[in-house]
Amino acid sequence: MRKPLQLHCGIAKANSLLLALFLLPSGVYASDMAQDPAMQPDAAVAAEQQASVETWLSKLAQAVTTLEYSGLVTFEHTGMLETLKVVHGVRDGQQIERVRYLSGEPRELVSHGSSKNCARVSNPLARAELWSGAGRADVQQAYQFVLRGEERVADRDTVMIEARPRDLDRLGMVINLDRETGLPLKSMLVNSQGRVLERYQFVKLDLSPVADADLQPSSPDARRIDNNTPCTSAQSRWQVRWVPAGFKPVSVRTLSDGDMLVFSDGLSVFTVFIQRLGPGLDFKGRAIRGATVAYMDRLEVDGINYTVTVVGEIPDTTARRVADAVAVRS
Amino acid sequence: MSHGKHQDRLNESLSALMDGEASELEVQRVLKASAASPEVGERWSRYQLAASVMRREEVAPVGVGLAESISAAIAQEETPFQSGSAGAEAPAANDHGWRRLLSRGAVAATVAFAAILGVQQISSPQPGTDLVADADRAAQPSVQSAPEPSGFYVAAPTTRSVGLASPRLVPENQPSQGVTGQQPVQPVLTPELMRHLNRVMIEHSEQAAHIGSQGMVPFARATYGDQVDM
Repeated sequence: MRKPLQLHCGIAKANSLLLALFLLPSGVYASDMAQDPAMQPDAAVAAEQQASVETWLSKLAQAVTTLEYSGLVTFEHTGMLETLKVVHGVRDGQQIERVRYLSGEPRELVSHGSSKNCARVSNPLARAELWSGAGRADVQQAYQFVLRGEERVADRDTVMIEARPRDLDRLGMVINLDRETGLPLKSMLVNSQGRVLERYQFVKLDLSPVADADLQPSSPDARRIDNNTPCTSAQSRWQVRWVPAGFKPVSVRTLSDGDMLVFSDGLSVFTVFIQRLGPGLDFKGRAIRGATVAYMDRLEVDGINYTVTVVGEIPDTTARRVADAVAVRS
Repeated sequence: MSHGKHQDRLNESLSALMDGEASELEVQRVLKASAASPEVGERWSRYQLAASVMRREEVAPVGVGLAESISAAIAQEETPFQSGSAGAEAPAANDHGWRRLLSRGAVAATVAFAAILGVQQISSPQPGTDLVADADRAAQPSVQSAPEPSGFYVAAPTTRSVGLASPRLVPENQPSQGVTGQQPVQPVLTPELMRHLNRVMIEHSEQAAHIGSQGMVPFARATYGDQVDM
């Protein structure tokens, strides 16, 4: 049963209070988030923390590319829960990944060979790339990494790391890494109000080698993607005049009906689509699914209408600003 | 209050509303009645469900809270138009100004639109604008498998699954922005729009899987809306 309407006022107030709390500059509210309330802002301690975070992140980068594993996962966004089976195998140095939804409509995907990366100059979590000195400095301009303690996930001990954005242009992330292997067993995307938009969490993890049969799709209509040449840098006639600090282009692709430009700050990714589509798609506004937002707008160039869509795990305000900044390269 | 004549009229209004043929007066009547009596609200929900089943839509029962959402939507629309005319709430519908907005088609659109808004959450950073959507979350404490770190809030589970994988749409031109009277409420998620959104979300996720990665999360996203024909 729903609560009566009057409650809304109370809720609104509570929300703005929360908002006020979380909109404080990260430096200020960081103080109450530190693990130990008695801890002084001691440079030595901070450095040690940082070193530890970096060790974990490099462990993570290693684990996600080289480990074979399978498991059951819950995938949750804004109150909706799905369960999936995931399998990650390595064959001839190539990653083969299979995702199958166990709830709702049967959906399945098998991805082959993401051994080559879209190498953004610096990417601490890049699948094949280790945490380099340059990457560290770069991504830390956009996020502050904090060790948040320990938690048990899927019957295993994990270490929790928070990537806290330094501005409001991107989302935050909380990742739990398996203490033994560094594999992320839980990850959450968090908005500036501290609301969890998406949570991906293992229920069961199996680290034994993956059999070939487990990498085969179990339904005939499974989608297969081949990722051997994922990162093209086609010439695009479009440019994006504004992106949040730290975001750099990682891939430009030509589609049958337009262009696709991918940007990343090392953690977050968004994609800008500029397409010639039918008049039925002249929607202006945003569509949201879990942590993924798509902002649509139209752009008229030389009498031709283009649909601009900015998609990503980013705040909708950011998506909108990016969409507004799309223009023809001069 | 459950005496015959009133009840009959209410039933008629309800079914007219379900058929998308309710007059503005009838909408008001149903809204008022459902606010006063939970039973009416529940009946509305059942009708909605029945109608959905008949239309072979995969739609979860629309909550009783829909009435609130629509009330709120209507209240929002009223403001810009009432400011000029002394704001008299004439019970006999005279077809002027904003009331035309609530003619049959528009009412149906409003209902559908509110149904989408009402069951989802809004990530909009401005406080106050997400009242309708927030109600879902705040009405009960979040249920969490394990306590999240202090300062994080997890949305409470909901029973809904309006269009399992449909993204939620929030059109740009909100009624409160003083849109001219003739502008109808934006259509909700046409199949074409749905296909487009799914396609771009999938293509984006597949790219994201190569870039920064938290393991296989982007693949989970990429597969999520997959059952829609592409």
